[in-house]
Amino acid sequence: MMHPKISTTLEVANEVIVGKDRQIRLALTCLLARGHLLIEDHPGVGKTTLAHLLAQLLGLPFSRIQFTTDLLPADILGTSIYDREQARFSFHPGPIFTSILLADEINRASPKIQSALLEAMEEHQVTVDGETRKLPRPFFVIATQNPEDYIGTYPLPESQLDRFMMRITLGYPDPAAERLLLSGRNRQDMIQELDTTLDTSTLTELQALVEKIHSSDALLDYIQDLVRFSRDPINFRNGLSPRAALALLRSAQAWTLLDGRDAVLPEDVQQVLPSVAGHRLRASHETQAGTDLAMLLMHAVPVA
Amino acid sequence: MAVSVTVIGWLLATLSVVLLPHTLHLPVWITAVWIAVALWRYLIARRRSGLPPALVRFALVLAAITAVVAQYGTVLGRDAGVSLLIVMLALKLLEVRQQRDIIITLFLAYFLILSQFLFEQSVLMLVYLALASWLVTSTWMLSQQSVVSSRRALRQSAILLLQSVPVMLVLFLLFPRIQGPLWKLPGDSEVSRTGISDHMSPGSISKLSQSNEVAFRVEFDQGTPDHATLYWRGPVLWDFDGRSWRDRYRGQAVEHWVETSGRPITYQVILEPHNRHWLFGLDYIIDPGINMSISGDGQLLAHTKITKRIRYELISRPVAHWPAQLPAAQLQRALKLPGYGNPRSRELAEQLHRDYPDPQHRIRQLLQHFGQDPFTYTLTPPLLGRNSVDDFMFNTRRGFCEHYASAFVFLMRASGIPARVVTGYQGGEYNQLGDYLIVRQSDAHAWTEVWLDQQGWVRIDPTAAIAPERIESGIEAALPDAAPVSGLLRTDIGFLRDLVLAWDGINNLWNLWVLSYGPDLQNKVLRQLGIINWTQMAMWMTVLCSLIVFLYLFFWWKSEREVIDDPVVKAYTRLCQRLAKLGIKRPLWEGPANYARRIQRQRPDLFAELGPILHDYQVLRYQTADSDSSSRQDLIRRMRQTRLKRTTAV
Repeated sequence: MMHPKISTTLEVANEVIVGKDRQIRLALTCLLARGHLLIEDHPGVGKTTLAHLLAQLLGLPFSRIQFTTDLLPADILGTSIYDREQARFSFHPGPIFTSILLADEINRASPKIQSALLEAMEEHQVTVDGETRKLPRPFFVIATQNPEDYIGTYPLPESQLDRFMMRITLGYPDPAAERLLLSGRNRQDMIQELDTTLDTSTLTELQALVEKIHSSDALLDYIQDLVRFSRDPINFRNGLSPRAALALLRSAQAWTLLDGRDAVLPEDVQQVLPSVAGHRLRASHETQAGTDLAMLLMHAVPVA
Repeated sequence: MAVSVTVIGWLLATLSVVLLPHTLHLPVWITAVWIAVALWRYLIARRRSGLPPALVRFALVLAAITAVVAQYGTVLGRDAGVSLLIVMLALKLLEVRQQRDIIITLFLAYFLILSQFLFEQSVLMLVYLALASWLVTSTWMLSQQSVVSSRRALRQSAILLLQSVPVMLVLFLLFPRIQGPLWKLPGDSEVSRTGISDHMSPGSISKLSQSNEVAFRVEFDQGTPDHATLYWRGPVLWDFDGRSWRDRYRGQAVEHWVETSGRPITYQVILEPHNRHWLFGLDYIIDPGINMSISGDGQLLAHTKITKRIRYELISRPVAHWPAQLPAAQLQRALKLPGYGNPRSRELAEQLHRDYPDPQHRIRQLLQHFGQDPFTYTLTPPLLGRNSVDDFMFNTRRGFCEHYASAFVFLMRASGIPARVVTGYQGGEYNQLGDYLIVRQSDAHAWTEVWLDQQGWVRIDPTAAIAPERIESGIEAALPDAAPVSGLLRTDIGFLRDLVLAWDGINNLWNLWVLSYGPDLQNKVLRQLGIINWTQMAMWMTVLCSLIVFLYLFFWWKSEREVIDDPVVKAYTRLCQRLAKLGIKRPLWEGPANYARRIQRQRPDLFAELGPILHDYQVLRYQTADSDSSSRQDLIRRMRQTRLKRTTAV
């Protein structure tokens, strides 16, 4: 049985963003698996809305940074300012000290800013003026980006991409969903009015549960087969890292939990595979151009 | 796509390895051109500067052709052709821009590897060139984008080359052979070779004896005869001019060869080329094979010069039935001496004639004389004066086999006994590993034959009187250690000896089965296999090559599919195969849950029975931490026994 709070969350989210239940489900899977989420799509299809919605439903402190080319690391990490009365420097934390960080249009920022995010994403801490400060827990980065060929974008380096557990795309809504969007209320207003459906203690509890979802030897074999195949340079230029393999397992476990089952099936891995592997694989032949590499990987590795 | 510095580096290194053996027989300037251009190209790659303009390249090509023509007067033929190929290959480097150019260059490299066989065909060269091919193939792989590391390229090309070996063997065995040597261009210059010559003067054989080269190899059908009986008869020399012995009539068959009797010895001789007509055999040969004849004095002669390695079979018998009297012409020839010179020897001969009227006694007395007097057997005798026989007999008394043979025949003739010098080889080294006898140039020998009425020509070896070890066990035993025998292999160390013999055995096999695999041998081998005409040959070639390719494809296909060793999975896979025949094929990547759902949707009639089985399989494999063997066995049984019949009407 699906956890009641999860089903409520999904229901509410589907009311706000119509026709994207798969993407919403994947986004929630990513959060349950403690991963950072990258949403990539054309402007105006609802990336920010989805990020905003998730923050609202989880009831967590939320801040949003609009990434631009002239953004400086201090703008997101914070700065030490001299306090005249106390006669010492005091730290003014930047917007990164939050639980859900919406990094909007992350690929518009310079590589310097992108790398400032690296430490925060991987180690849940930031170092400012030589002093390391812990970030609140939980800490999620939900980043949005435009496709790489947009003007004024810096493609995220592979090291940064690997730190996002999943990358999802939203795509244009179908006509019925678009009609609802046109005739319905303002989405921002709707989000503002929503109550928290998944409180922090439940979230922490569910996150702990994810790691306990049974994954048999046969399943781990399957994940390793996938990873091994991806690493053969004949197949792909960039294979899946051990971090990616772990991300694949955790997200498959979270997907299973979301589905209300207690053991991961190969099908669960296949459900999350396109989102987990898609942004990590690089084609090795020109003939692969334009094909979905994650699907290529999935169809090449047998399972029984 | 541009070419990386690494690939250029590999290309240059590979080509240098390919060219290295060529540098030994081509003019130095070609090597210099190669080094210069290769360095130039490497610097261009390192500095990422541009390639020289077309005009410069054109001028260089003209200069290169001119230089080759200036060197050889032509661009055709082996040496000129290979030289041209090498300089052009060097200049091609200045055009290498894309992968396509690299592939062209590498194919030229394969061609150069082949051309090396026009110069040398030894086993060592084969190994070297095989390694060179490996490098070329690796470089080719490396220039492909998909293979990244050099280690991987080396491994993959090694696998590729090994996979080609069976096809190579089939083509080698079955591809129709043309007459003539495999690796030769028309007009190859005849190189001078070592071997027994057509005349014998003091020092000619002792010089030859310093060479360790193989003269021929012999395989006996029934065991190797005793070392002392192994007299390999070569040119028979009748005519003495005071210094050298010759055969003026060049072994012309003046009369027929003799009848023989006794236990026959059958053997095959594999003779190295020596650019002469004569062949070697044991006394007394019966019935020479085709393309050879035997003269009245027992010289075995080929109809053409031996310019390539040949193999011939002979049968010899120990006894010859000579006529009772020596024909007058031969008698005259066998007694003839120059009209002047060597007075002391003639005097000695006359004295012998007086003291020992019986020819047999005379011979024995002379041999004893050699044995008793301070005569020494040595490879480095002092030079002899004009009266060479006198000088040797009374002054130096140090000599090699030719000195003794020469002096003996001279004294025999001077004392009235018809005699002649026989040259050839004596003995040989038995190679246990290959069960054959190696006869080297160092086994070259000269002995004599004297005519005795009622007995015919009798072999007398004066060397045996001075140094019996030479005949019993070979030249190494006969020569004192102090004697300077440069070039002669003197290995007392056992394992080194074995190593040398093993190596010779390999070379022998290589010569026998690879280099001499011409139309005749091919015919023989294929006949043994039951292939008698070219249509069968073509058929077998096609069938075998297809079979090999098919096998590779099969193993490749098999390795692509994961090896299944879990019996439960095996049973499940088999069940899936049965279902595929019913039209519900499972793609290999489809998980069990999805497959079960699809069956339920497509064939609900089957699902009633299959559903629980598939569910249990899924549970066992993915939802159970530890499955006990009885439930596994039970599931396997159920998967096997399910009948896949409709159980409910739809």
